[in-house]
Amino acid sequence: MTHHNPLAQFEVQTVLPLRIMGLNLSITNSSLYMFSVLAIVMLYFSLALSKKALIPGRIQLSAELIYQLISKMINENIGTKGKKFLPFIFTLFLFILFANLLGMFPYSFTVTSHISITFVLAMLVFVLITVTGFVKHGLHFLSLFLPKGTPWWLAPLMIIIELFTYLARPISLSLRLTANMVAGHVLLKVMAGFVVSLALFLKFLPLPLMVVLIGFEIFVAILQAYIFAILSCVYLNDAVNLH
Amino acid sequence: MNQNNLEDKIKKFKLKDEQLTSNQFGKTNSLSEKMTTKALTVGIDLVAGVLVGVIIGTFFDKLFTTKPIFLIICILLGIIASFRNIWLKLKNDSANDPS
Repeated sequence: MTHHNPLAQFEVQTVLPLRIMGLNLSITNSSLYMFSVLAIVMLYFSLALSKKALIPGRIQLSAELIYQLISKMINENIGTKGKKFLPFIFTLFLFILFANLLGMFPYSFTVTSHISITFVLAMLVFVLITVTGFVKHGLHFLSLFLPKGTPWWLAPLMIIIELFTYLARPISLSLRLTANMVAGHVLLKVMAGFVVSLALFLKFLPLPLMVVLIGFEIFVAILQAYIFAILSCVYLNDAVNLH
Repeated sequence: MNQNNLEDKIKKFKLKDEQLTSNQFGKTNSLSEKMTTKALTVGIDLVAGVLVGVIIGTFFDKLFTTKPIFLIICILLGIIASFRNIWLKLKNDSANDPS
């Protein structure tokens, strides 16, 4: 019965129990898939950049396209000062992208469907923004909480509201990714269940719809990684180029 | 004479090419791309502000044992913050819009 539960696919299961100094460091399917993502990304890039041909082959071209996408994103959103954040955004994008895509395989586990993981990624961005802001601008960074042209009697309220807006960033960043992945996978499973029961009346007709939905899910997987990266850039821009 | 003609032609084509890439593909693409990104992100922004309000409100209520007061105030502030977030995003977009 549990196999029919659309939420069963998100269960974290221990694969290799491990306790070190009283800490539960077991290898779960979640961490196993994260290691897999790491291995796949490293393998892909070492394969893509092994030849370094002047006229790139397909695999090298794809790697260069990803690099160009991120490089352009940073140039457009942060400017030349954002160059040093390229490795961070690039890593973030690739990790989320491959985690999302790996979750699209049947019987696999979607790492990014757990808020504990996406929230840590979002907090990483949040802490980086805050630290960068304070290092670059010192206490002047706090002027971010008071928009220009605010009348003095509105200032206390505006500061609180801006603080709320600032604190909402990591939550919206992590929630968006998790919600999209969970909703997509649950929808796929429920629809797949319908396909089975509808086969009695409509034969194979509903099956192409599933193919379209899976295609749409792959699109969402790529888009969500892109959105996470671009929003990180937008938020970093606030810290780097303070108005 | 011939050489001049050729250079003129090359200049003409280069200009045409630039116009094509900047107008038809570059700008519209990035603009619609930006709009799509914004449109897809607005929904969660609404929720996030309220969630921050709830978290901060419950924290202060536990601290001062004033159960619903801070929760109500912070949720209201959170709603305002989330709407402000959305407004800021849309305002930036319309400012960049050339049309």
